[in-house]
Amino acid sequence: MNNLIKTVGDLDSAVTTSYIFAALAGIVLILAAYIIANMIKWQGGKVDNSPKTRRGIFFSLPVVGVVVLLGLEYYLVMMRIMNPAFRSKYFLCMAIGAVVLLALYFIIGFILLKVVNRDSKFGSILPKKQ
Amino acid sequence: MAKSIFVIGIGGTGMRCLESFIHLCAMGMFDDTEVNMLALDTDKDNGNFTRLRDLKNYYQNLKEGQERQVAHTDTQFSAKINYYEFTPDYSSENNLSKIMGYSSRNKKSFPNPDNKYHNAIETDIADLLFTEDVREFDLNHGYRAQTHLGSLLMYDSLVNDDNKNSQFKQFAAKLIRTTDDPRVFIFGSVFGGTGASSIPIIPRAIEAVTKKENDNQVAQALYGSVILTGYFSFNYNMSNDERTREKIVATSERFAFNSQAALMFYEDDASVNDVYSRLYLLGSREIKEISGKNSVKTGGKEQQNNAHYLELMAAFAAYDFFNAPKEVLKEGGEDKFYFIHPDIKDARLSFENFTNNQDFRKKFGMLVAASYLGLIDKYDLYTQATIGKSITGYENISQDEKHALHKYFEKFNLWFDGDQVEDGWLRQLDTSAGGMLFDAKAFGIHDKKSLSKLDFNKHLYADDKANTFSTGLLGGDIFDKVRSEMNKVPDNLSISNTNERLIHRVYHTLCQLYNFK
Repeated sequence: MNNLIKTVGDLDSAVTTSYIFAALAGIVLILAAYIIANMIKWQGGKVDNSPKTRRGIFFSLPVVGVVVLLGLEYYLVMMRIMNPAFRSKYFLCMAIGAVVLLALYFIIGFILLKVVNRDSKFGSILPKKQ
Repeated sequence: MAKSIFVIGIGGTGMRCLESFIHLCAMGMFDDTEVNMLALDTDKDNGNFTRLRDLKNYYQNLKEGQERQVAHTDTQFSAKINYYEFTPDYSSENNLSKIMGYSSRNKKSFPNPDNKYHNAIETDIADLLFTEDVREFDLNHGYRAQTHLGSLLMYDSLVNDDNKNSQFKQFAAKLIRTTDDPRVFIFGSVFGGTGASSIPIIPRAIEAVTKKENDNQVAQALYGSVILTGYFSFNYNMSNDERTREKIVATSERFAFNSQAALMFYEDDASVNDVYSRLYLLGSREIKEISGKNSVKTGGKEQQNNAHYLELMAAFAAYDFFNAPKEVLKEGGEDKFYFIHPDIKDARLSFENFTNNQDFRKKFGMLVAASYLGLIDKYDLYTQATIGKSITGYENISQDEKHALHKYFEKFNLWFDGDQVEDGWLRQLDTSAGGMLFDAKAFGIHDKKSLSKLDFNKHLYADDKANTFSTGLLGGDIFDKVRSEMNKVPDNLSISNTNERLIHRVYHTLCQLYNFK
C-alpha cells in the first residue's frame, strides 16, 4: 500500500496484472461452476429442481466474481493511484477486466455446455428442449 | 425369432405358481422367449385367479399391451407373455348329476334314450365312487379334493367344449404350430382338487383337442410338471348348517393323505410315466397354518392365499425344465422324481437352493432394487423420466405404461393402504420362509418413513457378498448415485418401446452399481 503508482510504467504494469488476473478469475470461476454443479445432488421425486439450482449458480458466480474482482482492484490498486488521469485509465482497465472475466467465463462455459453430456449435472444447466 | 414355451397353471396353487413364474419373467430369467400361459381353474371368481390376471395385465401393459409386446434379451420384463384361460362352465349344470344326467335314485328312468349314461349296472358301479354328496355339490368353487370326479369332468369340459374359439383350443393350436419339440410345463398341487385332477389328464386332453381340431395332427410336446404336496394348513370353522349345505368341504387334515395317494398313483400309472419327461416333487416338512386377514378360503373371490416360497421353487423347476438339454428329456432313462428338500430349519432360504443361482441372484436382486426406485416417493425415478425435465428421451412413455409398471412393482414388493403396509409377493415369500434371500432390513418396513430411509444400496442381499454400493465420501444419496451412474449407461436404441428402453437402462445402471459387470 505504500507503493504508490506514480509512473506510466507502474500503471502499465498494474493494468497488465489486472488483465491477467481478470482472465485467470474467469477461468477459475468456470471451473468452480463445474465443480459446484457436480456437487449438487440430483433430486428424486417427480420433479428434479437441481438443474434450476445449478443454472442459478452458473449465472450468479460471474456476477459475484466481477464484484469481488472490482473490489480487489479498487482496494489493492486504485487506492494507490493519486494521479486523476492515471485513475481514469485504470478505471477503464477495471471495466475491460470485468468484461474479459465475463467473456471468458461464458465463452468457455457455453463451449463446455455444448460439449458435455446434456444429461450430466453440468449439462443440465442448459434447459431441455420440450 | 423368440423361442416358444408353454406353461399351464391349474387350480389355486397353479395360479400362485404362475404368479411366481411371471415374476421370474419380470426378473429377466426368460430372455428372448415367448411364454404361452394357460390358467385353468373351475372357479372363475377365485381370488388367486383374479390376482394372476391383474399381474399379467400389468406385465403386458408395461410392454405396450398383449398384441404389441416384444421379447427382449438381457433386461427385465424380457419375455413376451401370451395369456389364455379356461374355466369349465358350471353356471347352469353345476353338479355331476346334472352334467351327466345321472341319477341313481330313479333307476326306472333307465334306459333314457337322451342320456348316454343309461346303463344301470354301470350306474351302480359309479355309485361306489360317487356318493350322493359328491354328485350333488356345487362345482363352481372347484372340485374340493374329489380328484376322481375332477379328472373326469375336467377332461370332458376341455375336450367336449362346444366353443370352437375357446382359449384352451387357441392354446393347443399354438402348441401344434410350434415346431422343434415344444415344451409344456404344468403347475398344480396334488393335495387339493383341481390340480390333482388335471395333471394326469391334461396331456391327453391336449392331444385329443389338437387331433379333433387340426385334422388329426397331434402336438409333439415334451411335458414336465411339478408336484406340490401339502405345505400349508388352515382351520376352516364351519357350522353344521353350512357343512350340510356345502355337502363337500376340502379340509387340510387330508392334504398329506391326498398327496400320498396321488404320488402312489403317479408312480404306477403308465399314462403319467409315459407322457411326462420330468416330474419335480416339492413339499415342506413345515406346514404353516394360514390364519387372519389372508387366511385360506376354499373357493370364490375370498380364496386369495398368500404366496409361498415353494411356489417360487415350483416356478424355478419350470425354468430348470425349459433349460434342460433336449436329448436328456427325450431319451428319458433318468429318474423321474427329484426330491428337493430345503433344509431351512435353522437357516434362511438361500440362492444355493436354486439352479443357475448366480444369474438368478443378480436378476432377482436387481428387480428388488428397481422396485424401490419406483416405489419410494423421494426417488420415483420412472415417473421423473416420463416428465422429461431432468432425464430426457422418455417423455413419450404413456400414462398407462407408467401406471402398469408402478402397479407391477407394488404387487411384486409392497404398497400402502393409507399408512398401512400391504405385503406384495416378495414380502409374502419372506414371511413363508421365515426370512430368506434378502437382507432382513428390507422387510422391516412398516410405514412410508421407514421405506424412504431404506438404504438398499448397502442392505440388499442377506449374504455378505460384495454387491453393494456406497453413496460417496460426501454422503450423496442413493438417487444421486443411481442418476449419475445412469449417465454412463448408453440407451439401447434397438428397443423400440420407450418404457422398456428406460427399464433396460435402469437395469444395467443397477448392475454396474452393484458390481455385477
